[in-house]
Amino acid sequence: MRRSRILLVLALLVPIILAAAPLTNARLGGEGSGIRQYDCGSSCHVTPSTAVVTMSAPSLTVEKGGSVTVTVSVSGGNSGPILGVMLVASLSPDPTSLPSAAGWTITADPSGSGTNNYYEISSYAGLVSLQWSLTAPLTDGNYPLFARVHHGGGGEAQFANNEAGLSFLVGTGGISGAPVVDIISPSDWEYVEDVITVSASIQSSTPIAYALLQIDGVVVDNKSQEPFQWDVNTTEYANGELSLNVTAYDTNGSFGHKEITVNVNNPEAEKAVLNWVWMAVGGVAIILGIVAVALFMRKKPKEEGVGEPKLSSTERELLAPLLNTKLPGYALFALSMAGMVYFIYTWYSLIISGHVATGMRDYGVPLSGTPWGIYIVSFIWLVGIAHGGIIISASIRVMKFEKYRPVARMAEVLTCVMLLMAGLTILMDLGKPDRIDNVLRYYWSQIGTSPFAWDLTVILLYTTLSVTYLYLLMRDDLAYLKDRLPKFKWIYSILLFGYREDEKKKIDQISWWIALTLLVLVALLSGGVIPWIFSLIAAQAGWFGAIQGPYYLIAALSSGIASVIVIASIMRTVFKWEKYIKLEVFTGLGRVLGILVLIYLWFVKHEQLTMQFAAPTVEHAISNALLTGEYAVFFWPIVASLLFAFAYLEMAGTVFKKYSILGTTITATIILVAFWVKRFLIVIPSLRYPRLELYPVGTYTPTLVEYSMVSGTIVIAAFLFLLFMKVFPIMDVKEPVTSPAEATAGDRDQMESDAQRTPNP
Amino acid sequence: MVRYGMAIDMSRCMGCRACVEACKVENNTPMGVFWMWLFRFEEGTYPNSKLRYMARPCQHCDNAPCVKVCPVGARFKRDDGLVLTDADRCIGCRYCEVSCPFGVNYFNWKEPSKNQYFDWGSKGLPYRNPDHDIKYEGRLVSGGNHFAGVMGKCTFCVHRLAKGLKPACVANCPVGVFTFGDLDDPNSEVSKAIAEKDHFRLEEELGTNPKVFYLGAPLDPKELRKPFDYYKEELTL
Repeated sequence: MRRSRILLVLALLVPIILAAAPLTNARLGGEGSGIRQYDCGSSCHVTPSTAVVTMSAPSLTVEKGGSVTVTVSVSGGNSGPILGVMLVASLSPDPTSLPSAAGWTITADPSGSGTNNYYEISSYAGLVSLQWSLTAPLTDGNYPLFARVHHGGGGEAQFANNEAGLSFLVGTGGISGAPVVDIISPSDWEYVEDVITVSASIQSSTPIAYALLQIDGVVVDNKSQEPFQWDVNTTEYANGELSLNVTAYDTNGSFGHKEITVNVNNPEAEKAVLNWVWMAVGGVAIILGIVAVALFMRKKPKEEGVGEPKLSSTERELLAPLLNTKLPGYALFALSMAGMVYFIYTWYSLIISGHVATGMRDYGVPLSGTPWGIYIVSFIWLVGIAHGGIIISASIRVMKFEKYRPVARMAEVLTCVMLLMAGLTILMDLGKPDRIDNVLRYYWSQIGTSPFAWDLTVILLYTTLSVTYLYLLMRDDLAYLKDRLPKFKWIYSILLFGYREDEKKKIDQISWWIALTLLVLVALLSGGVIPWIFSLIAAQAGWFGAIQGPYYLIAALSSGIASVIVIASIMRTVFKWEKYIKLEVFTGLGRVLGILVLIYLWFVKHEQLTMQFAAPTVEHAISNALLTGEYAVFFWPIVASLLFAFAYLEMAGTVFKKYSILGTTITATIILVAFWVKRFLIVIPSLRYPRLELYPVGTYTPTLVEYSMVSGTIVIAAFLFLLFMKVFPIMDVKEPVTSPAEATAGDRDQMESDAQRTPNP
Repeated sequence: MVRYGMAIDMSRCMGCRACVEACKVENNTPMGVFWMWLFRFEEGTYPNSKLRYMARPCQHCDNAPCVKVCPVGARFKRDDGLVLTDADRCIGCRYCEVSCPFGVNYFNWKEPSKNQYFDWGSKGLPYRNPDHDIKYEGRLVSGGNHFAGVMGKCTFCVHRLAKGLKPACVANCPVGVFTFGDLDDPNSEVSKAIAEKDHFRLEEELGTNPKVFYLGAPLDPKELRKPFDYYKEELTL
């Protein structure tokens, strides 16, 4: 019984041991070699992980039973010790991986005398090349061969870093009489798009049974008759490489094939530009539109209920823009809405086409253009107006110029709107506006040296401060009007979060400091950062130099004051605010404007004199272009109109007895236009005349797109201004506390100023 | 660390523009974009005048104004001295172009559809050197001028340097106008070339320290007649 059990166990063990025998020695998957040294441990064999194994054969196509020579090269690894190399037909380390199991016959191994698949060399010198001769299997098909390097020490795994091996095609193609396939079109590596015709020519001594077309390894179609042509719609495949394979079978079962690769290159479907810029622009437009429509569709407020506070007649006059809208108002709104739609369309088309739609081009050769154009011109102009606006408002508050108080809020709104437009203009100018966030992303690496980054910093700071300033000063009015204007109660309530009755004093203190900060910033921004964009660039003649700071500051103040005059004058006429915006506002602002304009001319003189007298030749050329050349037709009228403006503004009311507000307004408008053109004369001529005088003088003609977009920003500014007027009081309305006794002593100064600023009906 | 620089021997140049052509082919630049340009100008007055030629690649300034003004760091200087543009980061403000005294920047005013000699049609670029898609030191700097709205300029063939080859203009000049190599190594080809001859740099007074040196001294006629080994494409440092 026991014996039979032992026999049974042995009967089971023997085949297992026999089967496992090849796994227990160094020849995993290999047949023996004469020079075996299995017992040396890991130190005697090459450490294979660093060895490089490569294989080669003269041809990968063989006839059935044909002979093949495979060369295996091993390099690297530590030289000196023993190296075992084996040739296998599969990667699994078992006897089925022997080439003979796959149908190969080894006729000679590297020793020259044996037919083993395993060969060991006793001293490996870091580079060895071994050759096996084999006879191919006798059936058609693909037969791979791999070379493996063996580590010593018995049961360790075989190693190779040549996983690909060599794949032999046995039979097909190598046999006479098998079909010969050629793909006539398209050619190999051709760029193709849309629908292509794949046509193959098949030559065969025996009739063709059928031909298959495979695309990327997938059989698409088969045909049994000429013509062997297929229409392939490449748009169904991703752009990039695509393999086309035609295989033909003859009636004997022999086959031949041809494979080529084409590059699919279909134009990308025009993607809608739906990045965050468009979402933001669209979102803002929709919100503004809805607000505007909602405001206009709203029914007129019914008579206020009994007991609700009512507006006095003065307040009704001051709130005229909020209370009623007449036909011209609707027309303006419609016009500016249409203008905005056109602006957005133009911008969209600009982004689709690229900046080629503008008149800007690279300076130098071969395009001879100017890389910046009227977008930058307009940007400086807008920032200038914004500065002028806020400096008026801030001075009124800091220095208590009470008579100008009625125009203070207009100036603040103007500043906020113009700053937004200046930012928009820069976005318009960028080739990749959707990447503007990069400026913040890489802020810290560039803030040290890039005036553009300084500019962005100060503009953001400035916008924040201005909006805060405007908002803080309006809270008092909003609280007062919340109950008196029921149709806006919801907006005002949201804006008045955290409102307390006694906050006025604190708010005044905060806004006084903000105003002071703004005054300092104006000197820094308009007298600093904006001109630094130009004055630090040594490459452009006419820009470099220290004069730009004060030069720009004066221009900014002038155009700011001029635009406040224009807006105040329009408001005064349209809403009949003659008794609130007094004449002295215009005379005062006009005087200052006149003097500023004169200072500007004085700077122009300094600049031109320097450029004319012994200046580098390019500077000289630019100055000549201004004074006598092609820009003289702009330059001299600017000088003349500024001189005229100075003379008129200083003489009005003194030499001329009758002061004309219309005259002042027209002069201010002339100044605004003149300063826009003057900015053009600063930016463009310098870019047209290259410092490296081997380059030709460039040209620049703004296109319709540029003009449209620049005027578009003005239209948007007008729209925002109108919208503000329709929702918020553009004039201070709140009447002062009637009894000074109710106020604390510290408030008294404020009271007095309030009393002064609010006109008595 | 190497500091790549170039010497351009104006006395050798015969104005064939092989460098211009080589640059356009190597970098697949579109129409109107010449990272390498050849000035042709007359020196002196008739009858004592002479036609001169001057090649103009990017000067790869050591103190590059374009690098300073870039608001996003898309224009940057590598440790090996190359001044490059990161096409993935550029916002297209063209401040670098404005600040460059040499006019070597070329903006992509539109999606490239045509090169100087062949209309690509609506298909776009028929062939793009695959080396330009490789990010060198992690940034997309090679090639360029293939993406609308961003800046591009000469890269000293950063993709060829990575393979140990000279820039295309240097390798293709039939008369050996260019020498290229490490300015910090006194034994490099370029340092020797600069040391041997009178030289100047463009707009040196602006303090940008260009790394392109123009060699101007006239050559001995015998020297000019010597055959020039122009087939040496590999960069030796």
